Amino acid sequence: MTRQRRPAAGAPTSVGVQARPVLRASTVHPRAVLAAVVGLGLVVTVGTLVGAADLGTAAVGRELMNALPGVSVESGLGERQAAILWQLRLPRVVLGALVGGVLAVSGAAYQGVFRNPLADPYLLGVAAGAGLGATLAVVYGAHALPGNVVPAAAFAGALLGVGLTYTLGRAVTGVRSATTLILAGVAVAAFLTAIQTYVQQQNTDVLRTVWTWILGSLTTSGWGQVRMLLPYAAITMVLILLHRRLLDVLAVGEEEARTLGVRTGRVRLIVIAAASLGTAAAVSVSGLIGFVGIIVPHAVRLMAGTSYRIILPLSVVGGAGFLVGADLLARTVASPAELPIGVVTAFFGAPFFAVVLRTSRRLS
Amino acid sequence: MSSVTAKDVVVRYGPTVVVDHVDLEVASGEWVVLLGPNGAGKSTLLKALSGNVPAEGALEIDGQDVRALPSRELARRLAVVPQNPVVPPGMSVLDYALLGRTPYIGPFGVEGPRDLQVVDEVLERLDLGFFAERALGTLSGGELQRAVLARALAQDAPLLVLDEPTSALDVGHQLQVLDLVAELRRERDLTVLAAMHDLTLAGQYADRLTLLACGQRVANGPAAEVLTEAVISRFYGARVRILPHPDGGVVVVPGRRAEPGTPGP
Repeated sequence: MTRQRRPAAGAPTSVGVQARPVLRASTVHPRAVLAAVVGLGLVVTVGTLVGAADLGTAAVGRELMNALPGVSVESGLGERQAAILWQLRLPRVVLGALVGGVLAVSGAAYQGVFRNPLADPYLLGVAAGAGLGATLAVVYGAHALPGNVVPAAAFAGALLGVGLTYTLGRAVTGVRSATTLILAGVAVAAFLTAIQTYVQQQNTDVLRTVWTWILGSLTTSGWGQVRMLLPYAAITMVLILLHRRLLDVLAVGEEEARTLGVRTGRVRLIVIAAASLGTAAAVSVSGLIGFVGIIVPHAVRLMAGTSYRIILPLSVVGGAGFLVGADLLARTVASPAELPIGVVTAFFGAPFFAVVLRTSRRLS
Repeated sequence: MSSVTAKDVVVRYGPTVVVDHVDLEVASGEWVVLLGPNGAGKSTLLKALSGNVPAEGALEIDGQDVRALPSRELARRLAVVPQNPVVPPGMSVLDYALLGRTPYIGPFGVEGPRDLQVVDEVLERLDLGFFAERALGTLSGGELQRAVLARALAQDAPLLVLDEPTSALDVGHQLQVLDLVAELRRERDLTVLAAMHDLTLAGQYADRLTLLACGQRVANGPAAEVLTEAVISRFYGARVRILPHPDGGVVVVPGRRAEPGTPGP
């Protein structure tokens, strides 16, 4: 007791005279942002330069310069090589960055609203719904409908899964509880997965196609998938980042957050809707890429701090870098064959996370 | 300053009536302590007042129905120190106290200079200035209770609601926290409504005691009227002696039952 009363008011000792540091609320450190952005830039650069087709570093560099307004240099790339760069490699890197950023920030948002460190972007039936949608499209849609309907079906399925979970979670109880929602998610996921498995077993000829999709892939041709994901990714990131302070308030639980004047039900609805929309869009273009939504926010937490003002922006940048890096490994390690990216995120992500856990002393 | 009027308040958890037609008045500037055995409905009544459980009957702060007030407005008038606060272990004392500024910050905004200034003063007042950067998980029980109090004071609300603010503390820290509340009440013209278990301390600090039992108000008045052997024996089922305190007021002394065969005291 005497120890903690020492700096008491009214005792202008040398301790009291000492200049106190200026108080500042937790905020993301500019140096942390700089480090993350530089890291992302490096991965993106390497990801653009390296690939199955050897285009030559210098030639790629010159070709990219050509895109700048007013610059016109001879890159030395042939028409086919330029097409590989512009229509295959670059959109793939950009897509990886978008998917990674959305999955990581959505995971962080889910962990915040549910105050559950194990919450991931696929928690509320998104994955099961997307899996069912994709399976139905592969089995019944591929012949009947023109074009690639798998992304659209996966997107619709993912939204259906979250919608069912939310409706069920609210219908079950008058009490506004986050736990109910998680339980509803478990039930909905089990139900939708059961249907998916049944459809799959009835059509064993498409098993391989379905599983390839489920394991995740960033294989692209052109910018179509980037264009499809971009608006959803933007909405998701903006909405979640706007709630950075309210997610910090939710850290004290819903009841206390309400006594602080927060309308917790509405905050939860908006954040979940935003995270689910982005996740559904990401899943529809890339399949189920696991681990990003859990590992990246937690690595940020351990390294930079526990406030969502720190976690959210760094998760966007870190998730983007992590997935571009993982995809780089996926397409180079066993080149010319490609590993499923979900395998890479787990195989390299888990040891990385173990290192972060061990070296960090931040969490008490 | 702020007054509370509750009339005929009923709270049900399913079919169970937890608060049963209770009246409660707290005059502006008064310190009222809610007493009652476990399960009497003290915490529930406080939660009804802070809008956290649905309740029937009148629940008014300064004549305005708390259920009709927007949540931000209510949080500017009433600050709650919860019984078992949720403590994010990695959050700094400063960030935690700043949460109290939430009702003054737009939904998508962050703290401004004014908020930092208010919290700076509060932390200094509670001797927490040097703890500002410390993580909540590293604080002792007494320090933590002051941090929770700091968050409530940062709300700048004229009505302070404390739900068993000292039940987790040793006697020294109990007195420290209650003395602090008494001083703050004087300095800031606060109205205080607290649920407490320690009858002697309740009698020493409160202007008035309101005793709940089985969801009903069974006694209400100054300590001398409420803290009697008959009342406590009846509603707590406890054998106590009430002795005069040398410094005024009364002391409630619990006594164990005499075992058969041993001479009584």
